[in-house]
Amino acid sequence: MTLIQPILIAFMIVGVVAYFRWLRSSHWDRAIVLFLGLVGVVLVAAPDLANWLAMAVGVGRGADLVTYIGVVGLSFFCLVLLSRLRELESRLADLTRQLALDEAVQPEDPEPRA
Amino acid sequence: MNSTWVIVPAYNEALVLPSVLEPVRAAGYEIVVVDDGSDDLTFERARSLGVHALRHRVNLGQGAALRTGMEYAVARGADFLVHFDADGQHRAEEIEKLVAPVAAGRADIAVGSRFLDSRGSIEAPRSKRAALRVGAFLNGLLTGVWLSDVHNGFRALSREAAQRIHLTQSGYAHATEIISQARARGLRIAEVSVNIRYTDYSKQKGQPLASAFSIVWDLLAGKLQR
Repeated sequence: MTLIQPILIAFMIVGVVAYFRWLRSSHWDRAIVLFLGLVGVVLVAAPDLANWLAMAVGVGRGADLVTYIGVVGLSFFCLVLLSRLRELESRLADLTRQLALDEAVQPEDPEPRA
Repeated sequence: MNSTWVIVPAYNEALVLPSVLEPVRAAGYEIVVVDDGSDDLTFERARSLGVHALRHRVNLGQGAALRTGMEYAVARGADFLVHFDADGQHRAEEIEKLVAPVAAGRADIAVGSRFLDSRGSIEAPRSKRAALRVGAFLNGLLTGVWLSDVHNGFRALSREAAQRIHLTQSGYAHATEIISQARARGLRIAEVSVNIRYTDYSKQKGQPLASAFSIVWDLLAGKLQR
């Protein structure tokens, strides 16, 4: 085992644990994160497995395969985040609008007390 | 008598608000100012002017402010609704002309155009004119409604149209969204020639060309999500 392997594995375990402890989300999200974490640990611990997989799908090098999958996964997460963000924005808009309508000042209302 | 409500979304417009609203009020329209989370005294100014004053606690964008104003006006029985910019580029004396086709029942929505006759185009700076042509073309592609102008923000809607259009775009993309929803719901759109005042102030407040890209982005993202 090379020095980089335990370091990477530690990072991944810390990442998964941190996600479960502090970042609340749905069950499916958790399952995906757990799965990705496990895959990451396995691939780091047994690089030959990645190489074998890469050969099997015609990529050549295990490191390339991991990079490709990583890019696809990251893009997917970005999209999920983006759509969450828009959903949140629209909820914020609804809330803000309701507040504005509830607190509307009509022309006949008296001036606020200073 | 039919009531016309003028909706004025305002973001940091405390300085010009009194002079912009004065002619609108003199013409006898109900005015709704929606302060879109301004940092200045826009809301307090609107309040002191004796108009309907609403305030977004946080800045959401012009589309969101218009929607708030429309919901408010509809709830209070508005027959016709007019979108009017707070920066002084629209003319109060043209409101009547804009509302006319809607009031006459010839259209459900009337949009102001700078390019319908030659008079309007003289005042627009050349670079702006070219950019707007491109915008009108993109707008046509996205909505299927070919208008001579786009995004000048001066519009009149019937009560029914205001109730049937649900803006989901908080930012500037609402201008395109209104048109595409109008088409999807079978509402009739009319163009009315208007004059836009290009003061140094309104030019400075206007949107840079780059924001056109973010408008297209918003629209595409919105389409994908539905």
